[in-house]
Amino acid sequence: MLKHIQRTLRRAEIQMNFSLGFNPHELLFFAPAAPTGVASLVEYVTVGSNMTAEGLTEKFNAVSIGGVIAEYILHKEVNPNLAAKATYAEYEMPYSKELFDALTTAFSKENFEISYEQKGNIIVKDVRDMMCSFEHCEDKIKIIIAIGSKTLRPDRLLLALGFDIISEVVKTKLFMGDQKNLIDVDDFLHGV
Amino acid sequence: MTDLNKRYEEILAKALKPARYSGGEYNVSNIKDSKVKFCLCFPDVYEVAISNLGNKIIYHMVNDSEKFSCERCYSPWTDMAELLRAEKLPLFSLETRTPLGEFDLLGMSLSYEMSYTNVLEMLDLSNIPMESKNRSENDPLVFAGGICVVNPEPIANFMDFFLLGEGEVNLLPILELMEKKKKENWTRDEFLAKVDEISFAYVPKLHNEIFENGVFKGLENSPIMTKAIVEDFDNAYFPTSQIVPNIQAVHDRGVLEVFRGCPRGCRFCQASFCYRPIRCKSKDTLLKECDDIISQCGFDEVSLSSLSTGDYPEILPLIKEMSAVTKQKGVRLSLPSLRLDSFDEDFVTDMKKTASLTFAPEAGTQRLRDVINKNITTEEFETAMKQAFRVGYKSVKLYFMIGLPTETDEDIAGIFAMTKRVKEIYSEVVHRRDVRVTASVANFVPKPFTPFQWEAQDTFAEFDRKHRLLKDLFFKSGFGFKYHDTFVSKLESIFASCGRKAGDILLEGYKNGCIFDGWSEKFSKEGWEKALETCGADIDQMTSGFDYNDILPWQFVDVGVTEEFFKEENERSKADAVTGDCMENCLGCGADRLGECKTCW
Repeated sequence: MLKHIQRTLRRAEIQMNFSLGFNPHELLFFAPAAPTGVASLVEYVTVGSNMTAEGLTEKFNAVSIGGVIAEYILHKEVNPNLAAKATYAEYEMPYSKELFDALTTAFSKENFEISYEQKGNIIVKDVRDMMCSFEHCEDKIKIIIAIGSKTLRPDRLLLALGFDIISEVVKTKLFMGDQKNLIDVDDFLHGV
Repeated sequence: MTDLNKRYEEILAKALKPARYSGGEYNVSNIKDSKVKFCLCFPDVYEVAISNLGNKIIYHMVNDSEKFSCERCYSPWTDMAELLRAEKLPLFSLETRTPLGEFDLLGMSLSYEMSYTNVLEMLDLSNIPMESKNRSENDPLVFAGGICVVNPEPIANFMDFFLLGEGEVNLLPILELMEKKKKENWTRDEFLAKVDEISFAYVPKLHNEIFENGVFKGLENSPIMTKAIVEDFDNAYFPTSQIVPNIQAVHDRGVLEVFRGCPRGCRFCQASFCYRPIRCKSKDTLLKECDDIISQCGFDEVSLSSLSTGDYPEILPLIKEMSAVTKQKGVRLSLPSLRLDSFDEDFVTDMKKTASLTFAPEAGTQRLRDVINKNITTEEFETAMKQAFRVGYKSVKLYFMIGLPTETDEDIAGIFAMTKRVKEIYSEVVHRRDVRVTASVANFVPKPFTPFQWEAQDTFAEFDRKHRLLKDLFFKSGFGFKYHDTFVSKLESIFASCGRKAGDILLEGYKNGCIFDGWSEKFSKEGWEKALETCGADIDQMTSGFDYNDILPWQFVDVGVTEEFFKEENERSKADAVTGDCMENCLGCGADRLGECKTCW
């Protein structure tokens, strides 16, 4: 993703500022990205640049690959530092009664453990405090779980529930704040 | 979405790296409705294949042509091959996900002998008979091009035809001919008969091997295959809207080709002779291509590619002017193929600083470097090291070969001595000891169309003895030491220099599960040993070299440089005599019979 954004910005002739070290690199700051295998409708990147944002969305989209579209490019005086601020993400997946029931059971518990392999070790972890909410919405199920400094990957949660459907999961929203007071990053950036 | 496409989508989600097979990269061509369905295949994994400059040129050239289109297919990694087999799905093209069996023409790009089993797997996964004799009228015509085609015989049983030389020149006429075949309903054999009449093409089934008392005496109907070359290289087709991969490629950057051929003539180097005559691009052309490639691809790095970039006649002015462009755009410039004697502080000061500097002295003593015509003196080596350390490098990789003609144990010891000397120079220049030096030692493989094409390769036992010598020298030395697998080098020699019998071994190897043989983690020694045993082949005997009087399996191929020149060079090597740079004085190698050497403007 980093390479793709760098290259698209260069093709769009959007001038990037560079770090001042021995090997200067573009000043690009990403919000926590979707885990591998998850499609995403919401990714955020901050670009250090002296240009104004006017007309840049069209320029970017004209030279981007299919499937990667800039919805908007905003000018911000200060880096919003979404990498540190983002706390939760919303994911959508196809509705099934079995999945809905499994989520209902998991969310009703005080503790919910998942296990996964990491560097050859089996990690077992209680992730209940990283699970914010879920809802049934038409033919979809939406779940909101932690992302950022503490991340619960949707594939690990779903596997713990007995579902191997990661290729059908889409990241749809990114939030700041805590579970009781979630702020959509789009609203934050637009000053809503 | 068709059913087939849906099934491909399903297995893509299960692949380790779906982007290897999904296509859709930036600058990928729109596939127009063409009367000829052509797929360009590269028998290695996506990350390697997408980095190949020749393939980029051909792909974009065909798609930029008025009439024809070109799709791509690369070797699926083993996980994807298993998925395809499990789901009984044929291998497909990246652009339109068309099964390879539905194309009219499949072009295999062959740049490394150890990728030959991947060719067989690509055909096998496509349900196309691997041996050309078993293909029917409905199967695609399968042909090969690329550097390996200078000796097509080891893979002749699997190809309907071969094209020799540069794709900018030899491919479109074949697509035209295929269009005619379809229009006039020629049979496969009628088409192949016409292909065989073309100077740069060769149809193996029309030229059986002739043996007398078990000795190879040539091919029936005396074929001649002459290399096609681009005469006006400066104005030759070159794509600046190159495909930008969605995953990291081996060479993840824009590539500019500064010249073809090499003036140095190292006697082991096939590319040096096979890409002659030497033809340079003008500085202005390269500057324009650089500017275009950055704006059209967005790469953060551009490299100047050739066999010996430091030998480009206007290298310093070129770098100076190009650096001004790349710096302004925040793009790094790299020079991957610098010779030791062209290393210069002026070069590297503005260059991309890699973690490690790589030099290839090839041999450990001056005598052996003279034998192989690697015109680098010890003094030049030491000067280059001093310059490298002065500009801040503290890691050096040295590349050597063992098994070279006339090599002695003193030359082997010289490899360690040179490695040790690098550390001493570092201490002298920087007054510290924190340099990292690694020696990587390859095994010499005699290649066709080199002055060493007649030479025997070391036996297994001799390679093993030399490896032991080196291991003893490097033991606890603190230097990194790597060496190539002997078995791989012996097989490479067979697939580079033998006749059609090598094809039998290749097929057996594939049947025994050998695949991705250039990848050490995939190489199956057991599979190849079994294949050799089944074919009754003695690997040391098959790599025992040729006499001048022998008819070579590739005798009918004309790459420009003459056999007389190779013989002269071979004799000069035996006298430790070096031959100079041919950009300074033409040495009469014969390559200019095919086209003028153009080295300046």
